[in-house]
Amino acid sequence: MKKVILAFIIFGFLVLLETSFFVHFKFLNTFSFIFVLIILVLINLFEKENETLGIYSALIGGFFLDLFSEKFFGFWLILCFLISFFVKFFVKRYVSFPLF
Amino acid sequence: MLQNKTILISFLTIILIIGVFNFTPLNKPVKNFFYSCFKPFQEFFWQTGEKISSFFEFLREVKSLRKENEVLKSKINQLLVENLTLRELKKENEQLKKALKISLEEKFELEMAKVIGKDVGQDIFLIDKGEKAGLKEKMPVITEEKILIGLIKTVYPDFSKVQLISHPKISFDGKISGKEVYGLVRGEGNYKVIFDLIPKESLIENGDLVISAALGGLFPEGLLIGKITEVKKSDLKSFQTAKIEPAFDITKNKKVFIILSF
Repeated sequence: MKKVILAFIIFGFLVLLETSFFVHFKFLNTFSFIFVLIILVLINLFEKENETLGIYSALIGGFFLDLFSEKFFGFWLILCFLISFFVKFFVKRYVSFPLF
Repeated sequence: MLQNKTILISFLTIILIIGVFNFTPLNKPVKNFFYSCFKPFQEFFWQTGEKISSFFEFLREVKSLRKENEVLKSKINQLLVENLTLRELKKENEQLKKALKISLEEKFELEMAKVIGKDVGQDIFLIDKGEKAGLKEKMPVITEEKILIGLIKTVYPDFSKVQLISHPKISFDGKISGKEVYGLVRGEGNYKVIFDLIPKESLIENGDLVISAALGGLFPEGLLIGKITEVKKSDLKSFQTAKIEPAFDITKNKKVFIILSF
C-alpha cells in the first residue's frame, strides 16, 4: 500500500512537471510524457516477478496523463497498461533484475 | 495467482474509468476538481520553469552579446531619428484611436485569463477561466498585442483548454497584410503553422506578415498570425505553400485574452 501511495505521489509530480515545467524547454516540451513511460518501464523491469506495483503504477500514471490530455479518456491508461504488461510478461522472460 | 487477480482488477478498473469518463457527464466536474487541486502547484512549476529557461536563454545569449553590442551601437543613431518620427506618429495614432474608439477592449468584449499548463503531447493549453466566466467553445484567444493564439476547445466550470493555431485540427482563412493574397492557415502540430492554398500567381516573400481574414467566421479579421519564413512553389501544384513562424510564444505569454464576442 505504501508503495502505491508513493507511486501516486511520484506520477502526480511527474505529470505536473510535464504540463507546466518542461513546457518552457524546447527539447523536452513535445515528448515530456516520455518520463512517465520510462519510470513505468523501469518499475516493471526491476520489480520481482510476483510483485504488482508495476501494474498499479500503469493505472496511476495513465490516469494522471489522461487527466491532462484532450485525447479520449483512457488512451494513456490503456497505453501504460499495455507497456507494463509487455515489459512484465515478455521482456522479463529474457531479462531479469529482481532488485525490489 | 496474485498477479492474475491484479490484472483482472486493473482491466475492470480501466473499463470502468473509460465508461465513466467518456459516456457520463462526470468527465468535466472530475477534471475540474483535479485541475483546481493542481492549480497552485502548476502555477508554481510554470513560474519556476519560466525563470530557469530564461536564465539558460540568457547564458546562451551572452556569447553573442559582444558582437551584437557593436552592431546595436551603430543602429542606435539611426533609431533615434526614427524614434522622433514614431513619437509624432504615436501621438497621432492615439488621437485617431480615441476618435474611432478602436482600442483592444473597445473593439472586442474580452476576458483575461492566465495560462497554467499544457496538454500532454498536444498543442493545447490550460487556462484558469471557464464556464463561470462566460467562456464558450470556439471563442478566439489572443494576446494583448492582438496576436492570435487559438480557440477554446473544451470548457470546464473553472478552466478551459485552448487549442493553438498550430494544432493539426485547426484551419482557417488568412491573408498577407497589405496585399490581397488569401490562403488557408493550418496547423501542423508542434508549434508549426503552414499557409496553404495560396494562388500560384500571388507574389509572397519571406518576412510578409500573415493576418486572419474574416471569411470563415472563425476569427475576427486583422489578428496577427505570424510571418512567412519559407515559400514553396512547385510547377506540379496549382497552389503555393509557405511556412509561418507564429508570432505568439505561449510560454512567454502568461496572460491571454478571450474574445467573448466580435
